[in-house]
Amino acid sequence: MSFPQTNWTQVAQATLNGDTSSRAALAQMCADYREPLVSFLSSRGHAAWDSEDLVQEFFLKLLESRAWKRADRERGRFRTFLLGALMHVTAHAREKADAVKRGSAIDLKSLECLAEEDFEPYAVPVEVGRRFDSDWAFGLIKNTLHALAAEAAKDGREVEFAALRGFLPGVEVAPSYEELSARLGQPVAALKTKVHRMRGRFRELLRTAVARTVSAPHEVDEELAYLRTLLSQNG
Amino acid sequence: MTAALPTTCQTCGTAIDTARSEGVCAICLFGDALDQKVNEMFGGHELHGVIARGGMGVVYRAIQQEPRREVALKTLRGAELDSPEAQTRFRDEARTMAELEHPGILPIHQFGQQDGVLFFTMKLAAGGSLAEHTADYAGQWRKTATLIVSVTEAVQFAHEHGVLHRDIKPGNILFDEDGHSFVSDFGLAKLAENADGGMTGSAAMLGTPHYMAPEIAAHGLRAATTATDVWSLGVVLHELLAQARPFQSESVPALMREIAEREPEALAQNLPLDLRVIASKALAKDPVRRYATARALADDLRCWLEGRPILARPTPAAEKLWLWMKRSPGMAAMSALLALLFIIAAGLLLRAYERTNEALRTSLVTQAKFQRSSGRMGQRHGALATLQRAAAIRMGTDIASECAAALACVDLRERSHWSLEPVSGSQMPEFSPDLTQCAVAERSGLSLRSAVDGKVVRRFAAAHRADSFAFSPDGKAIVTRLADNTIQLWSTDGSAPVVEISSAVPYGMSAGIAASFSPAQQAWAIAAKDGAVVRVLPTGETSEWLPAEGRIPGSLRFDPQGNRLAIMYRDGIVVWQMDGGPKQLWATKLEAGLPALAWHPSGSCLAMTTQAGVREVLVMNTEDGAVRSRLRGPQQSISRIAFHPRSYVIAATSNDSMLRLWDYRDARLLLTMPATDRTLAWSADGLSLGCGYGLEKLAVFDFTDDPVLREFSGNNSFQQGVGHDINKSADGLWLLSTLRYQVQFWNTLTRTPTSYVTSPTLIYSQAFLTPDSRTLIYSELKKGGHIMRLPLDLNLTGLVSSKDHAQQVPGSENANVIDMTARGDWIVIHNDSYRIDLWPEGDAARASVLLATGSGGVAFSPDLRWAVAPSERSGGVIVFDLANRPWRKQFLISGSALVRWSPDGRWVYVRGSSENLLLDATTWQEQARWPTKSLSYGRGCNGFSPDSKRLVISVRNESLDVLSVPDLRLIVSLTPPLPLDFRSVVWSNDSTKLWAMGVAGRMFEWDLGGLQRELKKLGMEWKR
Repeated sequence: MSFPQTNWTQVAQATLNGDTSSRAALAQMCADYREPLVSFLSSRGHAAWDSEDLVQEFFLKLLESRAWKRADRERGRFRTFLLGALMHVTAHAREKADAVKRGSAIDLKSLECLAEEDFEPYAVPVEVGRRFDSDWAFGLIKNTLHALAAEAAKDGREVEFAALRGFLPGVEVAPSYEELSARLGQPVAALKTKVHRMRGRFRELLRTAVARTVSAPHEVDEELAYLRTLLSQNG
Repeated sequence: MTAALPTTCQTCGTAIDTARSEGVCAICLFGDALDQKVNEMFGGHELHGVIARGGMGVVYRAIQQEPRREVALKTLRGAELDSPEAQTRFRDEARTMAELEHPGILPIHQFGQQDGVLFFTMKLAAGGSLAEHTADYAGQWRKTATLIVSVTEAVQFAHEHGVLHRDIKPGNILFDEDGHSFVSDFGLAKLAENADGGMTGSAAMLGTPHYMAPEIAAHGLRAATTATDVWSLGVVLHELLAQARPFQSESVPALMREIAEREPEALAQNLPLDLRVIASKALAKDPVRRYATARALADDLRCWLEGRPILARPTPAAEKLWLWMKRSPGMAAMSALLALLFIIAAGLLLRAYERTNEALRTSLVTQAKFQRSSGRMGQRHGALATLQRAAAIRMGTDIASECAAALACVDLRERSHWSLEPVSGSQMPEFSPDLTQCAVAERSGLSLRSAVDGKVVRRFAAAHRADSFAFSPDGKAIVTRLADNTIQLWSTDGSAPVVEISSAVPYGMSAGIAASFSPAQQAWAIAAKDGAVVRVLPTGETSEWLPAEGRIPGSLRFDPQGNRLAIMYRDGIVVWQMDGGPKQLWATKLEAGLPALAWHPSGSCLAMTTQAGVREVLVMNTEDGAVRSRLRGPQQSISRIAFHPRSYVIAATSNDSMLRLWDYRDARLLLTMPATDRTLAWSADGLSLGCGYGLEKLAVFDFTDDPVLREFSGNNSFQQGVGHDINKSADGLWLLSTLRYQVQFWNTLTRTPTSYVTSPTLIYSQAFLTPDSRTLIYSELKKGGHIMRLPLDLNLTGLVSSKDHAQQVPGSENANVIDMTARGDWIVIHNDSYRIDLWPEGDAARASVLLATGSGGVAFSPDLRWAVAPSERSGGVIVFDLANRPWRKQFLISGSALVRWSPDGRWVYVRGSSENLLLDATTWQEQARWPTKSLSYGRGCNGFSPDSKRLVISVRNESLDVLSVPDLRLIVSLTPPLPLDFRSVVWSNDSTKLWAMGVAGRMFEWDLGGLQRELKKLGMEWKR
């Protein structure tokens, strides 16, 4: 696996003046972080269709104002920085006291604070950070599942995938190979191999997704371990 | 709807929140990914981890049980397991390797399958691959030559058995414990010979670009010959000798260009000359000039090793034979065909022919894709020609989609050229502004010639050679500097100079006269030794003197309006305001690359180049000198820059003998082609480009931009901002795009912006026009929000300030308009209670409740009978029957949903995060449910055509898929040359055009009617 460009690197190259690949950076940021940030906002009472606009605007403002430059990449994960910045914005909106419940208007406007000279992302309280990270972890799992399903669909193996999915660890009791063999008309041994391959592919996709968000290849394992520990502790 | 209950994982027993993880155990799966060891039994082998992964295969280290030994086990990757094509290729690879018994080719032990999964085992090359050992060969010439001899002999053996390797690279040269080398991985071998194994997309990408021969880069794997493998061996040889690859570009298209056009980095002088000659012969661009066989390469290397003279220069007998075969392909093909005819029955032959044809078609489509992304001249025309060949076999959606993508690329095609003999010491010819004529230096004076054929139209005789010259913008005057420093001003229809200024002071720079004309000021300016002189037209009297404080102006240009003069010095640029007496506007320090300097036709930006560091064109904002864009690519200094008069294209020539076109807003390189560097001009209509071409040729090219994808022109070429949404007027004549603080109006016929409305407050995502197009309705987001109404005349251009003219609609506090019916009734949501009302023609007094509680995402049927609301909590949508209140129906879909009604009220499209739904609104049954190709966002990127027969959906925010309704057949997939991240799309009223807004507010038109016409011109049948 070649190590993909991380989000830090990408953003560092981007400006909004057409200097380099700002649009690519924005698109990748949206792809990776839109969902967890939208989910963060939704948990604070924003409707999803507004949050989507808000988050997109947030990314743009962030690139435009170069607020991210004040963030030290050694200081932590990129997503923690993003969350801190977004928290600053929402807090700023409340301070202005014209926030109404679910009033996205105010938050869009309050994004202006990203451009202020002394803008600093909030230190993310441990609990909020953990909740966000656990959202993130679940998002990774879900996206990987969807990618796996999409691969199966591409090859016209939707039915088979739906059946084999039960062999991924989870709440479902794995179906018996014999029963599945009868249902899908495939030998048991073939199914076993396919399950093996499916799990292998899941691992691959998950590792690639994680690799895109860390700074160096050795951090992939650290990040995976962190996310696993985090979820185990949350129970 | 019930809340998701935590249950436990059957594997580890921890609680699982099924709603968040879709029922799988995230903890187990993260653990799995951490612990990626493979340790299972497979086909009588114990697997011990992955050694290597390729495009389609995985190689494991494995222990064979009987007899027990360590082997390498190769199997297909998961995604390829069920592909018959991949299986065939895999079998071929195994068979090829088994047939090739040679000490230098990795031996195969066993071929088999377990449970339908194919595998084969090979000798385990425990010494790793050459890729890990290249550093061991640094400075080791003899060791290098010895290795390449043994590898080349193995390759020659394969060639003698009719097998081309086609993927030779250090990663495929393996070593055992004793350091003995083996060629491995014949996964790409011999594809073209198989009747049904044409070049597929994946195969095309499988080849390793750094080692790919130029003929493969240009024509695909089909062009592979023995010389192709020789090239790759040459690259490996070069890499070991130089300890660096000969071609190193990062991106694939750049690398392809480099391979096709550039000579490899010269090998260091301290290397033995003969080795350098051998490497260079192996890397000859033309296969005919290369070693025709691997044996010839091996022989020469052996000669060098044994201290004998190498044979690199004479043509070996084998090469003669090869050249004969190349010259007489008909003869060779004929004998093969006769042999085939004797062996194969006619029916079989026909089937094989059809299969080959289908394979050929696939390769042609892939090749076209490659051509249009090549970034070279011919990227569009070449790709289209290839697609015509593919369509002759069988037309299909894939070809229509590829054509659309190719047609969306800019291209140049030569119209005419003529040769000239330049006068030494003079500048290259200069094109007249309309590109019909050019001024050419003569030994005494200069001549005006036809740009098409070089015929002399008029001569301007002078006592000396004309060193340099420039046209006035109207083409009616030429200013020239003679070798004795005399400045002459000629009228292009006169025979004697209008003005002649003799001067002892040397004017200007050797590179050009550095003169420019100002249409507004009726003046022309010339660079002098320590400043610039502005002279009055037509008398030539000095009107202004712009001192340069000891610096020498290298280049100067009036802006197209003639009011500002930019003067370039070695150490910076100064811009003067000329009307009302000269006044310095701004100055910037930079190490200038003289004399390239150009104004944008609108005067809004200025392009120049620097000498320092990276060779690049800088595009500056002319208001303040801020750098807006940096255009990179040239390897050597940039000589000329020219803005395209109508679009966002800028051209530059440089000393590396290349012409490049960029989109200067996003710094995207559009096209490169070989060109000499001293002449460059666009015609005023933008349809032609003139430049020096080849050896002393002057050529005019036809420039074609996009007949199917057109960008709307903007009044601010660097406009940035989030595009929220777009909407259109009822008559389809106007588009409204909503940005943060602005609603911009566009004329869809001219694709130009007309008026725009600014608001002091952020605007809610969509704005609406009343059916008569006379009133703009939009929502402001101040406090809880409110609705604004603004009377408009869209035929007027310019700024309308909503602060002065718009009025807040009475009763609209805490409310936003979310939709407008065809009759002009407003659908309004109250932000405090989430109630959705219908306001007939915007009249709050006559409001009626549509839905007691809703959200901004609710979509109402055109007759307002039904409401389809996204369910935020459980995902999916809920359908409400507004005529029969208690009735409701839920359709589950993952992620927050976006809903669109077909204009005829028959269909509802629902986009979730991983699935799409098409609902039949007459029965409320699912018509179709299909997975999204990938996540895409943007609220309006999906929609039905006005005739309800087409649905457009965005794919990965990059392309737009147009589907037929209700059978959801793909009609065309529209891919722009750059990822535009389409935010919103609307159809034209006649369903022939799609107007789309990119995330940064850029507006585009995809013309499906135009696509159909272009395809027809190309002789292709396609129904939109």
